[in-house]
Amino acid sequence: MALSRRDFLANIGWGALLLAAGSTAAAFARFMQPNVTTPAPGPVEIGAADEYAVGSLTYIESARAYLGRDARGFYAIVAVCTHLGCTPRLEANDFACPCHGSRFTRAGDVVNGPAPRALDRAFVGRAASGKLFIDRRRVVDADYRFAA
Amino acid sequence: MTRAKWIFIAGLALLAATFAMSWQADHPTWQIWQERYNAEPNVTPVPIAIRVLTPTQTGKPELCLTCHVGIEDISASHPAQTFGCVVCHGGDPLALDADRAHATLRGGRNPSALNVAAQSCGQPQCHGGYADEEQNHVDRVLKSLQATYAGGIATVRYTFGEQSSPVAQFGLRAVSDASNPLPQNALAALREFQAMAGTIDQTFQENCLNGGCHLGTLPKQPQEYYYRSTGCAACHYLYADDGLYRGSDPTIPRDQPGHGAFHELTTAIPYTQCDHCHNRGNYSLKQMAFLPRDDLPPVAAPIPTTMPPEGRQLKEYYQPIAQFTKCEVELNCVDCHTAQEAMGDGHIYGSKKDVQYIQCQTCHGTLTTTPPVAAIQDANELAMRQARINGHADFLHVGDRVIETPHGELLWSIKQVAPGKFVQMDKVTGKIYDVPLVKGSGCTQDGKTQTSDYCHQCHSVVR
Repeated sequence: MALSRRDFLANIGWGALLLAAGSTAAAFARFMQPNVTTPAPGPVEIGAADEYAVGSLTYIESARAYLGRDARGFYAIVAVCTHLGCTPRLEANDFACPCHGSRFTRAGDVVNGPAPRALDRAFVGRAASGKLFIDRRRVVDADYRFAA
Repeated sequence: MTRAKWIFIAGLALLAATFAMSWQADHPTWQIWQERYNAEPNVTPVPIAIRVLTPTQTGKPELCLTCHVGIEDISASHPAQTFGCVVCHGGDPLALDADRAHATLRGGRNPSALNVAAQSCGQPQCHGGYADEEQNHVDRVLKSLQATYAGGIATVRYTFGEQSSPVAQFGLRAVSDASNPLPQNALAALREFQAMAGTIDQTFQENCLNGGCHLGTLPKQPQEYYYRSTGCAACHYLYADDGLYRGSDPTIPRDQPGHGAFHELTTAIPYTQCDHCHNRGNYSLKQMAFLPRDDLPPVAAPIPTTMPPEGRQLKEYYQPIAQFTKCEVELNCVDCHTAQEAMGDGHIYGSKKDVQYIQCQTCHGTLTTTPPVAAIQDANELAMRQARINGHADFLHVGDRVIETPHGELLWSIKQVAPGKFVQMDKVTGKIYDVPLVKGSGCTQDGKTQTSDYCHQCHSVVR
């Protein structure tokens, strides 16, 4: 059956309307999604235990913490200055905060302020994958060690 | 028109509008800024994406760097990773269009403007809210002469018979000081200056105070050598003489004067920044006007950039009848003028002479005495903090002996290195100078007249 010109135009019009409605619905669905999402803080896997030598102190950027290993095991020093929250840097023998000059020993104890207290320690454990992880949500004592 | 035609036209129009909006959504403004940033030479290109910053201080995501990609950290003491943008600037941290993001900015482009500085720079645990007044920089500045302009107001009003005493009664803002007792010459309060119509006060306010040289307002006619901000940024945020931005934020136009050279605060303030207010001309009480100097643009040519620094510094200074000693044209203003002088000591004064107290003898001593010194006792004391913030932590150590001013300020950049021997570090350049002492020199000045004006009689640089 031949399509009349009128019906042809009407079909195109309806098609365009449907397409526009579909596009609008898709755009609306996209609009409802947040522009960005930030992952909830949680354990950060940091590799296998044998990657870190005894006596080492390594900055783990993804965990924003220094992973240390001594004869007793692993420990994590949180790299957030207790003054205002900047990231202390490991220098020759101590940590130095670049913001306001606080200094900490390699164990995280305050040498000079304005930091009011020692750097926090975070929990170190082993994930199901067998790799170590640091969990900054769990603050532990300075004596805490994870024996690998 | 038939129904079919209506459907055809409406359908296509709606589809076109939908595609147009979709195209716009897929080409947001922030993408253009990032593409512009990536096209700059000497930058590391960034992937085109929304950039999320979650500062340690707030723990709340901010999207500001999506457009302001490449903007400089405001200072080493205020890294964006720690503080973010919103804690100082305000605004909507999750907005991706400029109008919405900036609608609630604090102080517009300048969160340190005097009317909002207490909520930004001076918020508790930043530069305000401490028991130790010395750390409440914003409170101090708001009471300082630079902000109240009490001395200028009192002098003009007294000269023209608007008040019977030269003692300051008014400031650009009302301030009060509950201290008891008050230091010598300090005032308990200033009322806000409000000129009555038809008086000389009104002319003074219109010609000089609204857009004049004080901390709260910008110059009336921005031009080369005058560009500056207001509030804290008037001193700590450096402007080039041409007022152009030289940093990496693609949203800040490079060809539009009136922007700081970089998005950076500093305590290493060069004399050029001080000169953007001072030494730019003279006041005429007769005309009740500020008369810009006539040897700089727009009247005359700029100072040649090839001029040696010392010569340039001497030419930058103005005040035709003033005399300057060698150290005044080699060092920077902040090497002698202290934080209390520039930002106030927390009390209200009505005259510059009550505030500026550093004399030549403060550092050079007198015919009979060497400068008084004090030992640095603790790594946390003010002098040590000032050295660290200035970026010269290695210059000063606990146990060092530095000059102590008559007001008890320790000049951290001038230390005793041996008995009778002092060195000074230029806070801007880091250059070390020997500080010659009067005692033991060939100076034959009368021991009773050793204030700076007498020193200038012999030690002025030939101009």
